[in-house]
Amino acid sequence: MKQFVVTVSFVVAVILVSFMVFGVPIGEGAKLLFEGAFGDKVAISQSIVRATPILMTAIGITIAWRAGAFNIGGEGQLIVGALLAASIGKFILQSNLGFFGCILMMVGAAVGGAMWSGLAAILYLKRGVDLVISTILLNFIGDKLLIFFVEGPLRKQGQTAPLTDQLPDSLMLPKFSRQSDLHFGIFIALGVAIAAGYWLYRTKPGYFARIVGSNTEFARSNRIDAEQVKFRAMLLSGAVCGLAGGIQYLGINGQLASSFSQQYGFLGIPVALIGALNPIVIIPSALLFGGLFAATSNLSRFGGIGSYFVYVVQAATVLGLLLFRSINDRRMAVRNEG
Amino acid sequence: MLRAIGVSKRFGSLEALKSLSVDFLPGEVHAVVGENGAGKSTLMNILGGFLTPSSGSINLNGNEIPSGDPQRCRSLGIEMIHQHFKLVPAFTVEENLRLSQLGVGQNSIQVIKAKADEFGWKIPWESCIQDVSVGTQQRVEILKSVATDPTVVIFDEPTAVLGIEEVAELIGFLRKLACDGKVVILIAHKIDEVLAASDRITVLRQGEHIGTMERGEVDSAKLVDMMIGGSVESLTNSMPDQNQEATKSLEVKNLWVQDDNEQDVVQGLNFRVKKGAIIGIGGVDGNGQVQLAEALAGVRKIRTGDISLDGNILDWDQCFVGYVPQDRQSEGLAINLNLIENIAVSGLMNGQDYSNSDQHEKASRLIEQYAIKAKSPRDLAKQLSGGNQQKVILARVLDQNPKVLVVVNPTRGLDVKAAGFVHQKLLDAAQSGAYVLVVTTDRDELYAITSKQWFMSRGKLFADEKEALAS
Repeated sequence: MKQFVVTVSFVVAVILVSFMVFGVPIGEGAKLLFEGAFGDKVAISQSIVRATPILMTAIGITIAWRAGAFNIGGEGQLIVGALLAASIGKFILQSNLGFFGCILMMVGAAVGGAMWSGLAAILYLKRGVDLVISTILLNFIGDKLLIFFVEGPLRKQGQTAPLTDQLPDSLMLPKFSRQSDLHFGIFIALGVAIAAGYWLYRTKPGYFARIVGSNTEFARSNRIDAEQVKFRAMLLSGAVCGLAGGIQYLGINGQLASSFSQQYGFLGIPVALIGALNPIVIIPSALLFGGLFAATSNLSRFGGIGSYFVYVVQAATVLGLLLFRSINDRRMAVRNEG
Repeated sequence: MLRAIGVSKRFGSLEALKSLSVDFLPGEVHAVVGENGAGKSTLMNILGGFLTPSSGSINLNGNEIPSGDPQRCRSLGIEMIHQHFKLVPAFTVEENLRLSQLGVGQNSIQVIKAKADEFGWKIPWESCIQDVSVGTQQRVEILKSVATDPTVVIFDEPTAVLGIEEVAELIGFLRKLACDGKVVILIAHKIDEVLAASDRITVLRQGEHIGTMERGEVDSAKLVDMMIGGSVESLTNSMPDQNQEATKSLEVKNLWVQDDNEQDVVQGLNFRVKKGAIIGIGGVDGNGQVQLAEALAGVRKIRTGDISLDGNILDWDQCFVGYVPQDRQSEGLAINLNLIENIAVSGLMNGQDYSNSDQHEKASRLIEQYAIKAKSPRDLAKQLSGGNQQKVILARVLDQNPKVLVVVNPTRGLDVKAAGFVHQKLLDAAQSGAYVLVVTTDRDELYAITSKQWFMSRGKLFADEKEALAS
């Protein structure tokens, strides 16, 4: 928690500095930013809508990273998850499955994500291929796969723009009201975050994952099969990232375009780091950045400020944190030798 | 001459060093001894420029040394050989040496090789650091330092990792450095080594300077007294009972084990351990002892051969084998996790279920039972001193009442008191009927606690030490 407070102060400081750099008057900018994120009902619901996929992918990333499996492929897993959900959607479009169909597609999304991370995990287990590299590369493949399917097999008949079929409301995640985008997905995301926290800190497999992530040699000397633990964590991680894609698909548009993902898979990484790789702390971290995302449109009157403002704040925060941590570590190291 | 003048160092509320003044003279081997936490490493880190003293100053040949600047200290001729080697495991010996010469004097690798020849060392220049023995790693570490022809060389517990032969060679080497007119500072635990190697001895206790004496003025008993400020319990323990039934045994038949490079480093071993006996396996480091220990602990795959317990083939999934690995920090503990988490692992691997409250209770109980110095079970393992870290590992393993116990260098780097405690626990385990195997490069330890000693050389066991050395 202490780290989270430090982090939030960092975020605030970075925002203020960014204001100065972008030439935004600080008082007014801060007011607009706050109002845009949490000012009224619409703003809050927008913030939550933005936070939902980020929270999910951040949790997915956390599960793998805590086990020492550096999954950078949240983006690809999210996309393939959404793709599999949309493929199932095409089949059940005319059916009367209703909410059961929605669940089926979510399961499909999780399976899709797990398949995508599983590819990297198998390469790692069988041939020792570095997970960072394989998952990064699978992001590109996933992205192209999306374009291929959206323009090809999944393209809506008679449609000029490359889009998949529009799901009927009955197959989508329920919304809170007609006026906003706020959908049921946030509960799933919160549920997954809490479940991940429970898994990590209250169960044997979660404990083993943390052990492996903390020190593989320690795991080995205690007969814990580190490779197996990492393999499973990768599957679980991919499933959660895939589910993030499914929820985004089923919650917002019910339709895929080649521009479907807005880098939520990548955004999950810094959000997870800022949340100290602790699923519970990640919840406010995701909400914070969801809010920031929602609010930046409010800033657009000041010249060219757009959504990249969020990336600047986020990247600067992560870099600041890493610096903070390395200084801290160095201090600890010197102390320990004393 | 290197002088410490009124040097103090505080870490928060802890006074690690209290107004210490010592002169280190050229041409002498000057030992600094003390228990864990006496302030030895703090002093060395201040001399090496790694720490800034809270007060006082360091003088080299009359000039004050700027504090907290290790690079500057190196360029002034103060070199430090750390207990934990600062080498890149994936680089070759030669690459590591080249790396160390960046920024300091531009000694070519030839100069270093010439040095190695001068010392009579055979160094595998092209091998990766991770593949060479600890003894060789230390030599590389030493070469890194002496290449620049320093005026002061500080050795931080250099013998902790070495076998008996290597220790003797190292002591000879220290003497030689001193003869060349260098200031040689030696931090050590083992009294006999200190007495063999040094000209003068400085004793620290809880940050205080107890005294500096000529070698002739002290004997080992007096030195121990000064170090711990009281008398030690004698370590001479009666050997465990031998008249146990001999049918029960841990038996190893034709055991072959490979190292990470797929070399056969354990070659067809056959032996039997009786219940309640403590078997000691000695020998020079790097002769397959660690791989043997790992194989027995179920951590390393066996190429061929059988290990059977009480007549049945040993199945590690069914039978918990207690294992205390050689390196506490890298293998024995997850140093960034807390004590609860570090202690839980043995029970969980022994088939227990995960329960946070149980783990917490167990950690608290063991901390008390083993007198582990920690503020709370939530302390991180890295916050503990070496001795207490070792206690954590022993505690979690012994708490499972293992039928078989395999330990490697269990008292490496520990002070007299902590080592005595560890030895007592091993004896207790044997007495209560465990099969205990102690792999150690510490000769005193070997004879102090084991009921039978074997020596390993090139993957084979010998009953006679000389035979092993000659093989």
